[in-house]
Amino acid sequence: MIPKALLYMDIMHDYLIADAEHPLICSDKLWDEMLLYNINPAAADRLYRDFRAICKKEVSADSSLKELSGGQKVILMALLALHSPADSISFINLEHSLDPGRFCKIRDLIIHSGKNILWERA
Amino acid sequence: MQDSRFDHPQREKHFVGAGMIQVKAGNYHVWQGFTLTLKEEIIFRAGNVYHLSGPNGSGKSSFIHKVLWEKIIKRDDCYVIRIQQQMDLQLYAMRAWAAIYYPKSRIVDEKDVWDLMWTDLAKMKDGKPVVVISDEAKKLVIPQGLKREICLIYSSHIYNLPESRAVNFEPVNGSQSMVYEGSSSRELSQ
Repeated sequence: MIPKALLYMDIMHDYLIADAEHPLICSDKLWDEMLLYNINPAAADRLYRDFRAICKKEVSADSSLKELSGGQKVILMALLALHSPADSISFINLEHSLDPGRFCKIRDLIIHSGKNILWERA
Repeated sequence: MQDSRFDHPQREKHFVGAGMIQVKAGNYHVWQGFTLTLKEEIIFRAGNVYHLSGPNGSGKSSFIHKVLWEKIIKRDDCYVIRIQQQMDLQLYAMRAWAAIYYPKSRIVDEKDVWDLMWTDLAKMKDGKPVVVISDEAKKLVIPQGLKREICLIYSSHIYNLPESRAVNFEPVNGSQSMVYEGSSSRELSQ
């Protein structure tokens, strides 16, 4: 059951903001970040798979976020948003921190995600 | 008797001149399980612009943080401006600093940080060179007519300044990257 307070908020039509300038909120384990994005176990497996395909690097719920480079954090943020239940996502400055090859890969995933996407540049 | 002022044990002699940084050939274990390998020495010289170029995760930021920064942090023959990647925390630090020394300034974004740095540097009358290190900056703000030499070292996927010398980071595998100087940026020329 949805809490009553949430019924008064227009959360169902809001965009999940994915800003490459602030890619991750937590600083310890990936598990913490996945909790924030409400990632279920099946989505987590898809996230690990996509991250491995794009970055050639293994991650798991126990992975330390400190060990990721700046660009890898941005890719992880994009994948967390894509695999979250959010229907609408606003990506801000996504191309800024990514090399051209990885940006194309993540852009293709976003385009084919079937979600309502906004591309923004701050 | 030896003058102790010139024998400071913590002040390493990494440099070959004012505003220059010498990085010798060898393996640099920048973090556990990841090594940067320089087959040849790289010297960053004042008056030049260097573009650190390579794919995500190839070690550019680690090179700045673990190699360049450690060589330059104890130097007193030059000034250093460093703009960090995803600089939200640095913005807070700059606001705190500006509140003390430039209380009328307003630090909102990266450009304000650049402006304040150059304003502060303009007060220094000693003519020392300045080493500018920028990691994935959204904006590179270098003022014209500066009366001191600049050594600009930047990593970026969106900028490739025309006069840049490329320093390429080429991943060999997940745990090692080769670092070498090249004539042009490979990543952006593709």
